[in-house]
Amino acid sequence: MSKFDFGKVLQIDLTTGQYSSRPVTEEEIYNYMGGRGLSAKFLYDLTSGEEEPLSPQNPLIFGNGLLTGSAAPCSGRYTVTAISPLTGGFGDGNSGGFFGPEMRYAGYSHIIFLGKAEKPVYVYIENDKVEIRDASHLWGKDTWETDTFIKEELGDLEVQVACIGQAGENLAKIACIINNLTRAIGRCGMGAVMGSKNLKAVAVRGHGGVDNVDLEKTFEILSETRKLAETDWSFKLFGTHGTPGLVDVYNSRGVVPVKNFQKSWVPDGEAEKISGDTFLKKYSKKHKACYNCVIHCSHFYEVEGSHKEEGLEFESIGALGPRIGVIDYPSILKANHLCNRYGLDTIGAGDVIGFILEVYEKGLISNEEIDGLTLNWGDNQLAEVLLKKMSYREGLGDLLAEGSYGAAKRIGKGSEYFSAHVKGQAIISCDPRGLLGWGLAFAVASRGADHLRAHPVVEYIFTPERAKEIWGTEKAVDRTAEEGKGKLIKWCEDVRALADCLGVCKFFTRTAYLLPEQLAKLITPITGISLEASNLLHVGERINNLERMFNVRRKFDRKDDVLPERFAKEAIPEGPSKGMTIDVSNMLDDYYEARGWDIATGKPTQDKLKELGLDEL
Amino acid sequence: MSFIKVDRHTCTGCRYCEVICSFNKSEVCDPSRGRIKIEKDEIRGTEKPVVCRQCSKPKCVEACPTGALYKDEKTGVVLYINDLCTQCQACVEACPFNAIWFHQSLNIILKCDICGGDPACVKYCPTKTLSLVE
Repeated sequence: MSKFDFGKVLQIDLTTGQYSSRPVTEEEIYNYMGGRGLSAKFLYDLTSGEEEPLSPQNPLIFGNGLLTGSAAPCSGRYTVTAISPLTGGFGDGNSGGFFGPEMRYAGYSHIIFLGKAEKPVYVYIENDKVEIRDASHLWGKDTWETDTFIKEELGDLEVQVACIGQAGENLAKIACIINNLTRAIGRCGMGAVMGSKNLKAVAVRGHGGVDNVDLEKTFEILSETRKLAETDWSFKLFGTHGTPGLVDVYNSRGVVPVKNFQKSWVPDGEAEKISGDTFLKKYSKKHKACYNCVIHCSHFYEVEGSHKEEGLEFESIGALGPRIGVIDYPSILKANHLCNRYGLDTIGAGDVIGFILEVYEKGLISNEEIDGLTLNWGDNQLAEVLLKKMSYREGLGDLLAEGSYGAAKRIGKGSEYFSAHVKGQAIISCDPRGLLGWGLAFAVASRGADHLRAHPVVEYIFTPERAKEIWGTEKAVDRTAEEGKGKLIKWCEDVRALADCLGVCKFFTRTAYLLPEQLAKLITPITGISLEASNLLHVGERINNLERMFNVRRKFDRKDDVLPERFAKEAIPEGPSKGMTIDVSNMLDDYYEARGWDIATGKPTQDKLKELGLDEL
Repeated sequence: MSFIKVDRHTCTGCRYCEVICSFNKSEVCDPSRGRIKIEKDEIRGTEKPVVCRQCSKPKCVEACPTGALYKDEKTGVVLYINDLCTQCQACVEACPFNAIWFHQSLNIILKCDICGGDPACVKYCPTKTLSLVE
């Protein structure tokens, strides 16, 4: 039996060029696991609550999950954490591919970047060797060019690169970080934080490995969970269609936003044009997968005469398609490709385009302010033009680069009504009016409108009997009912945090490892850490409270846990969710109560913090 | 004759085979210790699993000056005796399929031996890209 090595924490000061490292401690693992949780702890400790997101005082933390790079299935994920320039609060993004495991093989659990380099640099890490290298020749290049240049320059094709494109360089607040060409640390504007540090890329290469404590037991549990995963319908759907298969799942419930949420249903006849089946038959060439992935939800696709690449997610289809009135795959796929190369979050980009189209339609911006463009819903060529503008902050693009909330603040005139955001971050392409649990999840997520903090798919996959068993009411899994949603979302958030801390994909943990009992079974033979399911839920709860306290310190409270006014005022006008609206106030009371937070302010109580060992905050 | 057959059209490039192989053989997850490698080109979207074909007339055995490599008469699998190996890497050069590797820091040859007839990579390959021909 060997001993599990948690890896090291490497801290690099880009201002001075100094760096140092230390091992992750066992105590840190017990309290925060790794990945998102441990990064949250580092971010809390390294900041005071006053830092500007795009200043050198904002730390940028690359964090591997506890199991990233291990034998666990779908264990290729890493998180990047910083104060978000979109929300001004807690920010992070999570990505798959092969970067995280390589960083782990180099010996690192976490890499913390502090300060700001004087001129563009990239950091190359090969085991114990850390080099801050000139990146002047890479500045201005897109993510694909950057990836290729760095590999050629280092003479090693197996180097893994996480980099920004022009959007990050120009501090577009919806900029992402890209690894493996098409995998994104998408949300919260982490690309802009990286750009603000003059950090073009991080390149890693490792020759160590991840030890494992009990080989035989690990193999046993791998087979067991694999069988369990295969029983979930989503395992099969993602394995064939990937997330594009969700177009049909959500459209059949009438929750796919059309024209910036003016409608939420693509009618029959039109919907087929952007369905998962159409993508599969017309564009997909083969299945692709992240590290150790047994699901393979990704594809390699080709649009003849245009481009080919890996990827395509439901969220990108929604944001760059119906949300801007476009029902046309070649146009959606082209926009998706450009987002990857410029380094833009597809959700944030589609959202701000939808926003500007509606604001223009309503006469809130003038013709003089839109660079002589024609702004029409459903213009198949428009996204291409606007994505470039926002990546370079050219003309109208300077406004769009702020995201819809930032743009609305600049425009004024009541335009915020048309920004589909929570805390400054864009809502995904699922209409919360038709999925009440999801709506509550968006409202309370620590990183602003976000579905993956809670990822409450159980709202429509658990049986009422099971719901009653866990949350005390069958209504918890009725998407049209408010009852039970507070408990449901709390539970989901605590469980999902574990996936982010372990570095295991949520598409796997939504099935086989959904229950903490099963997660505990996996952690023990690999790491040697003996854990009960209740310990794990406690860790998940601790992390959600820590992130909440981070936001409390940055002046967030109950008033920020709201959905846009529009969703309470305007009912969904047609389709399967016709007539539905959402007002989260009642559910919010239940959620705070389930969390043990003060109902008036939404702040964790001292008792709760004490229970979680966070009373020093 | 036993060998691992590869269908490169179904390979997703997940590298689970590399990891499981190194895990099974070296008790550590480290793709660089895998006795199978996935050659990937992300821009073109191609991946090619490379693993020993257990040739009927193995060039590596011919090239090995010490008898560290030999073909098992019963199974047809080309096996490796570490104690006899002088790390000359003649086998690495001789293999026409680039399916033998030398691991610098471990100072050993990495070569598939089909795990004695029950290869871990085949068992865990999510898409059945790998199969055992017996």
